[in-house]
Amino acid sequence: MNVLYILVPLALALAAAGVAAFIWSVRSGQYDDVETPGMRMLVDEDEDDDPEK
Amino acid sequence: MRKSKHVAADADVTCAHCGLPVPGALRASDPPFCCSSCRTVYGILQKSGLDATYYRLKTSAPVSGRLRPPLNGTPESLLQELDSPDFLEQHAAPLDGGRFRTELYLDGVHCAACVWLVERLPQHVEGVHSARLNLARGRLSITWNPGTTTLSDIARWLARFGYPVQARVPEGITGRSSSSGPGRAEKQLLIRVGVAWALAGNIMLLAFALYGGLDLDMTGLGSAARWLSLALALPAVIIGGGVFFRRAWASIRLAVQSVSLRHIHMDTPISAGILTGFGYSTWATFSGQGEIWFDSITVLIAALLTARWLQLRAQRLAGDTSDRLLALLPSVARRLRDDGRTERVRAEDLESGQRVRVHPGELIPVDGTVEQGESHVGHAILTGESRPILVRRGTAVFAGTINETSALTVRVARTGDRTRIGSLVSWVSEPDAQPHGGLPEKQGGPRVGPAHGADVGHRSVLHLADDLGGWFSITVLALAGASAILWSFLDPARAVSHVVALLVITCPCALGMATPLALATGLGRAARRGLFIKSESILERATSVTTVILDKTGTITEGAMRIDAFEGAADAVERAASVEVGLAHPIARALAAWADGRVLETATEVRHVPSTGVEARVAGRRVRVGRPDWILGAAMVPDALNGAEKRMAEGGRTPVAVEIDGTLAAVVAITDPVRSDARETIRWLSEQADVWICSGDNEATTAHIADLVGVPASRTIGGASPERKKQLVDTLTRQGQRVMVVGDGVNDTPALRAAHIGLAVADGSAASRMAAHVHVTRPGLGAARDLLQHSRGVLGVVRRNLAFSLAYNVIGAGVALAGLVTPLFAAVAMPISSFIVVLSSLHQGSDKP
Repeated sequence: MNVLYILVPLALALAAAGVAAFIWSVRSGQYDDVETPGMRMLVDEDEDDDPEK
Repeated sequence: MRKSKHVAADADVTCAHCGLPVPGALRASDPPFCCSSCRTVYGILQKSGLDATYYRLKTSAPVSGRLRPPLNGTPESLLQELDSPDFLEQHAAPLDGGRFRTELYLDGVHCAACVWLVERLPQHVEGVHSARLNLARGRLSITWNPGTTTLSDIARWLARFGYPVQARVPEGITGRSSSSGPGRAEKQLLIRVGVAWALAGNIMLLAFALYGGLDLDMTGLGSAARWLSLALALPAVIIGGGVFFRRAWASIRLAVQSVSLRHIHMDTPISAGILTGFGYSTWATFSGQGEIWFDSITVLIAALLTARWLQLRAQRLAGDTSDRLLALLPSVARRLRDDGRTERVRAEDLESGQRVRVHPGELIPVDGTVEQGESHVGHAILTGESRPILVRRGTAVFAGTINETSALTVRVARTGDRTRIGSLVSWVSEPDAQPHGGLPEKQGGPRVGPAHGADVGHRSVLHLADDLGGWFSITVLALAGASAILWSFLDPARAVSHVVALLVITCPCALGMATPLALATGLGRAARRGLFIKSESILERATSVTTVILDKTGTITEGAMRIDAFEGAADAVERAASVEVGLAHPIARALAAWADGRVLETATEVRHVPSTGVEARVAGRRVRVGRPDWILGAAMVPDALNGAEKRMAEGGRTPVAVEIDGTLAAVVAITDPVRSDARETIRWLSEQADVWICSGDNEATTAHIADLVGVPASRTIGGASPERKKQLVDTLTRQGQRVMVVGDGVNDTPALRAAHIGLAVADGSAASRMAAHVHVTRPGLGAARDLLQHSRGVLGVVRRNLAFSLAYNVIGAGVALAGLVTPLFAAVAMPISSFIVVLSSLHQGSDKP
């Protein structure tokens, strides 16, 4: 059972990382548009494509 | 599918661009197109070498809805504004390298192919660095270099493919923070939701261990788990629960001030449950005895926050349209100083009595009267009428209208929110449009009821949960008291823990979620079907409609004149079309539409006789097209066409005579055909409510249409002015009717606003879309039926949810009184009850027509 002393903090650290990533994603606007990126994926990346992508 | 004789469409011949059925006259061309704008776009796509990918994407991700490119282009005034230095200063963000970033609204974007095409901008227009389209909101975010290209050139490039720039995105035009994407409040709530779920999930893991017997086997680990749960629950209660505590506290203060239970809403028992559970569990953790409830209360907080966030989000998506109208208002004005010079000022800094110059092509920034100059002003934003109106000294002009022909000096009467259009905007943002329960950041307070007179004093089922708040709290407290007394006799040692169990289990989690969840899903579903409902209370109002008033043009009929039949020679009609092509009159458009796809000769010496007809020379012959009485007075009438004008006038049609070289050659019947679904829909509506027709068209035509669709003459009013329409609404409302007005917007704005429910159908003016409670993106009456059916479905779900949650709380209270509720029982029962409410809200499929 001693393993719990490592595993529980580890689980909490992972959860904290998840929360931090979530907060970042909300703040940076990842959920502002949930429709268009899925369609953008349909486009083949041709050679004449936007160099900034 | 149209019913007229000459313009029949088959579903099997579809447009090569948009995939809609192609009218008969145009089917010969290869590939076939339904209209000239589709042909143009197809041609441009091919020329630019973009067609292959575009049409592949179009078929790989098909969508429903309006696919035809919009007919209206980018307004010239907007193009001018896009290039002005003020625009760069106010609406664009400078980046390094001389580049700027801004956002624009696009019309006509609807599928993956559109996204792809619009985002080709950087490859096709030099000076554009990046282009990103948000499809759902029609917003294009663009980075460009003003030194290399102008925004108006970019707008023209987009317009060629049928994506006119509709407006700039109103960033701080009137000082209101316009939402760039979800608003700050919404984002913060979403973060709270995420944090609350993460904490709740971890506490649940620890709770599993405790239920599994960690407590019994090894005391050290057990108490460590309790302490850890406490540490995790504390931020959950502060961050997540704070939303409820603030509103509960405000409502209690208000209730104490006014000595009335009415102000106590659902957040109060929710907060009480959370705090009791948390307080008792904390004590249990410190003292090392008793039960802990951390998992139950954190899941409860997370679930309730999620419901609130969903509601806020549904509300924002529905409110997007008002942003667009706001974007149409000019932000700068030219103030005329006393010394005769002009200076540019922000429109909201103007004061009444000052004078402004408005150049041709510009939007008028204020309400006022013309002092100097004579010009034509387009009122499309207010009335939907595309024909400009002549204004001169003394004429009143309104903000948002376009000065088209020459410069005007206008004395300011009202600015900003007090203008006609501004008051519409602020009317839209009234409490009525607020989400049920208010924004979480908002301090409780009494909620202002629906803004309409008919609803004063009428509390709706939508507020039932909140209205119950006071009684709920009292009942729960009474039960807790009863439980305390009961158990202090039966088993004094367990009395406290039983009372706490009762307070936690009766915490109205499902009840708090029942209404917002059902409404949020209801609004979302409606939006996907093309019904944009401005506020949630509309859903309930729609269930009580007793009278429906329909506008004729564009609602029952197609809204566009068409040639129904003709007598005489077809080539004479073609000649008539040559004469009329390019003119703006509805009859001219009908002829032009009929002749679309045919080769026409060019007309010369075109002479316009106002409100009578047109005269011109085509291929050396003199052609006159116009009212029969104008032509018949002078022309020879062949026997075959004797009385043709009377036959063609039958059934509410408008006869038009064509004369060639002094002889009557043809008589054409022009009509605005009834939509194919109108008759059936009106029959359905008549079963639910009284159906009226109130139209601005003349009485004979209106009566004929009413007869066709089966509306009795006693409920048909023709030749009605906008005031008359509003009067009818007011009269019926006073008689106790709940009136729904369905209009296409042209002059319907006052009636739409006055009605219990105003429904604006597609293609109306921007102002009518604003004034209406519901607007629809597809033409026709079907939307009215959809709205009634849909709202009934949603209200049914709300009632189902409320009934279930109340039942759950009653049973929960009973079980708790019996002393059977343990933390494990609560941890299972509370999420299950919430889950059932979620499922019930998502399952709204039964309302499909």
